[in-house]
Amino acid sequence: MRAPVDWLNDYVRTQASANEIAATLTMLGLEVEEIESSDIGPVLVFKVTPNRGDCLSILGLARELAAKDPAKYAPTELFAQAVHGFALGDESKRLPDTLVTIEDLELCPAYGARLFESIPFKPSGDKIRARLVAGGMRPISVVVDTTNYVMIELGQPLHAFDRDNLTEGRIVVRRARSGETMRTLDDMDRALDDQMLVICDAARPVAIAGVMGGADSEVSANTKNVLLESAHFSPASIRRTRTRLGMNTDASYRFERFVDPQGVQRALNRFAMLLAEQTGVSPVEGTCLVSAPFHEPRAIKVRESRWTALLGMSVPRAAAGSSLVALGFNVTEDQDGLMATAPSWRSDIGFEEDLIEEIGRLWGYDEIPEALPSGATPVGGEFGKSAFVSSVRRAALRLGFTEVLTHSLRDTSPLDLGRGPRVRNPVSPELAMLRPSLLHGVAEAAARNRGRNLQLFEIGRVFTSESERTHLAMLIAGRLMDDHWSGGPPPPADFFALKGHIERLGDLSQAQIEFKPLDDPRFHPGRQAGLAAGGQDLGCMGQVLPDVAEALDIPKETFVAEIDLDVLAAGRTDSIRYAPISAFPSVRRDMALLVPKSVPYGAIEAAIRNELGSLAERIWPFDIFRSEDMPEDMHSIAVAVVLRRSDRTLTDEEANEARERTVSALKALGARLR
Amino acid sequence: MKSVTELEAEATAAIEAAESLSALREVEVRFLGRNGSLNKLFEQIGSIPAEERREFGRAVNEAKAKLEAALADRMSKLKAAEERKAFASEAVDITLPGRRPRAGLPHVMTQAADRIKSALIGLGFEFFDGPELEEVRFNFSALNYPPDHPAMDDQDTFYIDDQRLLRTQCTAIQGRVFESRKPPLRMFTIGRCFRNEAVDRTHSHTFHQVDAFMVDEGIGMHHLKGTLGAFARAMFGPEVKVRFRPDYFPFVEPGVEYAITNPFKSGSEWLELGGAGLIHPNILRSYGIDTERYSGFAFGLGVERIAMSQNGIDDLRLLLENDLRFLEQFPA
Repeated sequence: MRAPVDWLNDYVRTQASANEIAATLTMLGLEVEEIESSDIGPVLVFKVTPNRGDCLSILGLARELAAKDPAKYAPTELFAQAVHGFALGDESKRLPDTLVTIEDLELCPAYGARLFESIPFKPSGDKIRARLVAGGMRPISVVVDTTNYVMIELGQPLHAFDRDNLTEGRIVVRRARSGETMRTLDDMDRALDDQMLVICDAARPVAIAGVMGGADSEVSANTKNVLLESAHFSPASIRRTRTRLGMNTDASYRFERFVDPQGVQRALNRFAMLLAEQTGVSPVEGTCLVSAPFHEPRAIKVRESRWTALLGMSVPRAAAGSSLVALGFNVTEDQDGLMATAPSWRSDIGFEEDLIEEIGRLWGYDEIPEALPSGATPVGGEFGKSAFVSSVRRAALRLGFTEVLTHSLRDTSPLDLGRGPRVRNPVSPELAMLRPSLLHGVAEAAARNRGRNLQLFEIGRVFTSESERTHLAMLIAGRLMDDHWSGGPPPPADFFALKGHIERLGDLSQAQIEFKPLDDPRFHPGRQAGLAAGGQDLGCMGQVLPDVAEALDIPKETFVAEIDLDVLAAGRTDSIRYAPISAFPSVRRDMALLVPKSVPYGAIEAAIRNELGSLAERIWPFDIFRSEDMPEDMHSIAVAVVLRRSDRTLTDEEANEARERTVSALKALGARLR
Repeated sequence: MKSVTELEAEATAAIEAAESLSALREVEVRFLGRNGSLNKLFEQIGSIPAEERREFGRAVNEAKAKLEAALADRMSKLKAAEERKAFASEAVDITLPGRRPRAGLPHVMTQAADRIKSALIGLGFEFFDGPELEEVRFNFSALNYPPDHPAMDDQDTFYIDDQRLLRTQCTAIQGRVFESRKPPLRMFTIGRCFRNEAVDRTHSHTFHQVDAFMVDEGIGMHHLKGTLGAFARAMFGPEVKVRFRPDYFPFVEPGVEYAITNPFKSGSEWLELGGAGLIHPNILRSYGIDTERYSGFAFGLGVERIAMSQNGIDDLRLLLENDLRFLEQFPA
């Protein structure tokens, strides 16, 4: 909404500068975003909130200013005339009711029409043209300009029909029929349906109600006789219609934000007044006004104790009352507060709290003191799953991973196994899918930082058609450390570097993570593993398939993992229990084993653990190699075992016996001492 | 046969002349060892007249003690010298770069979110997590949005289907909390929201919001202002003040836009942070909360705005681009 200060001065006389007016309006809730200059002086550019359709007009803005400070913003004679509907003295005269028929009073509760004959075709007056330009509209002709002028001034959209192009010269308001079409003013053919309200003549639609007029009945250079429409339409219906048609006009913008249903006659009269000033043409006597019965809003009680409690400041009852009166409310005082009836243009007032907002707004929110709530203080904090997710984030950071945040909306990716849900109305096709996996995002971050040694992670939501889950993705590429002058190049990122991070992450999250064979087409067939915890699938890890890595512009040797934190959260142990530290020394025994290559190390460790039970405190491989003197399909694995008893010192003989037992048990796997 | 005095002088000279620990050890063996000169001298005690033996023994022992002291003294001097030499040869060039361990950095947005989180937790608020893919009702009707209302124009929405959308505001957690919890409540969330907007320096279809609300007996606008004041001062420093101006959001009545006195050197006098107000009675009533007894406030703010204003970032797009040259500027 654009309001020239010059025009505002028609309604409230003020010495205040544009900046002062802007500040006052902003602090009333009508945010002035900018002050522009124009041929007729400063123009205030507003954002009007959707509940205040009444302020999409010079009259509405003037009313707010006068209510805030009548001494500074004195209502003018024109303001008083507007309040009285610009009565022309012929209010009782009626045009025949047959001029307008409303078939749907729910969608069109009021429709008024006046007739004008023998209007000359000419431009509108200089003042009107200048104000329209400042208000952001293009001057066209005296009739069109005057309708627009009244719309900006009073907030009531008007439409002028060339009456000679209306079949039988009359109006029928009804819902469109399915399949009906109409060409609108902008020369577009519009397909209508039975949810849309249309203005028709005796034969066909001539306007889409509240949105745009039809090309056939448009006023033109040849127009002599005009039927002027001023109506009230159901805001929701206008919104549905214009949304469905993909249109947004100055008229529909106002109608969907509620136009004063009692202002229909006022706008017709104002138009007649302004047209007479410019052309000398007076309207045909009388108005045709068809309407549903107007429901007088009910009086709402507002208690002084309540407004004091909710606003947290005291506003004297007399001041509260006069503010409401100035805003157009009908106010009476009662025992513990006020009774107020909202004016017809305030559809946003329905409860006591709405009145309290008006009282506070006019008194000024700057008067509200600061206080901290007292009473029962709940314990603040982060608990449950979100606390766990935060702890995983800290764990990843401790492991040296840098956090990235990537978009949830994206295109499909070769790093996705399935598809995520699709948005019905995307910004663009590349932003149509909700990510089913975080891997693409971390890979994209890796591509952006190519050439760096990378260790990245992201924690975020991923989506399937049924569920939304929280995942962790990790990526390593390049070298494990940055180059240093003291030695040769540090080792490159590999499968075991990432696996080690995941193992450590398991420790830090108090979860036992298992690694299992996997067959995932996104990864190198020989370098991938499925992850599980507590018997549930947790995710996967592996080297990105070289072709995929190339397509994504990431290093050929890039290792990634994705972990479902909802599963990990369920698989963790809740509390940590202290275990006594053994007072007795441990004994280490090594075994250099010749093992068939087909036997995974995990099977050997499991067999050792099975044989030694709790005696084996720790088991680990410390050397794996192959040499020519070994049979073709064998290699050497050197395993160390730390043995310890918790109740006494283990003897050498016992340790040797345990080692021998273990070696013979390993024969079942085809392993023997080298 | 040398006299004790001669031997002592000779040994003292040898000790002083030893230039290394090994040379000194040789001197020690030569004069003080089991077969050293001093012992050999002492062995002659039998050939000395009985009345002189006592005096001879005393002289030899005295010489031995003196030489041992001289030896120890020389030893410590030589040790210190050798240590100095070794240290000098082991000296490092302290201007060479260190071997830096890899450190994980939290994203600048997470850092902002964490600051917000600890401020709100300090004020007694509990974190509550809601879904990003939300039910239409929690995003709109549960928040008192009338059907077909232009208020939704501010919230250009991504729909999945008729029932589900990408939440346009974190306020969507309110209904979820009210369905499972009873007042008194102080809750907040931080999360991702989506609106169908084109991307530029200050807009994106994806952004992050904080939403906090409180319901208790006798809550008013002064409590909202006080809580926002305490929060803003925790975030921006002790001088910050809060300003309200009327605004409209369907889920609050009265509704305000709140701004703080700009804590940064540059820019306008007021820094607008977000929307707030008293929770609309329609919402409380729809969840069976007695509005005569309970009232509440709610406020929201953008995490991007906090991160950008606190760190002087002027382009929103940088935040989700993950250029390490950008992220590494915020080591937490």
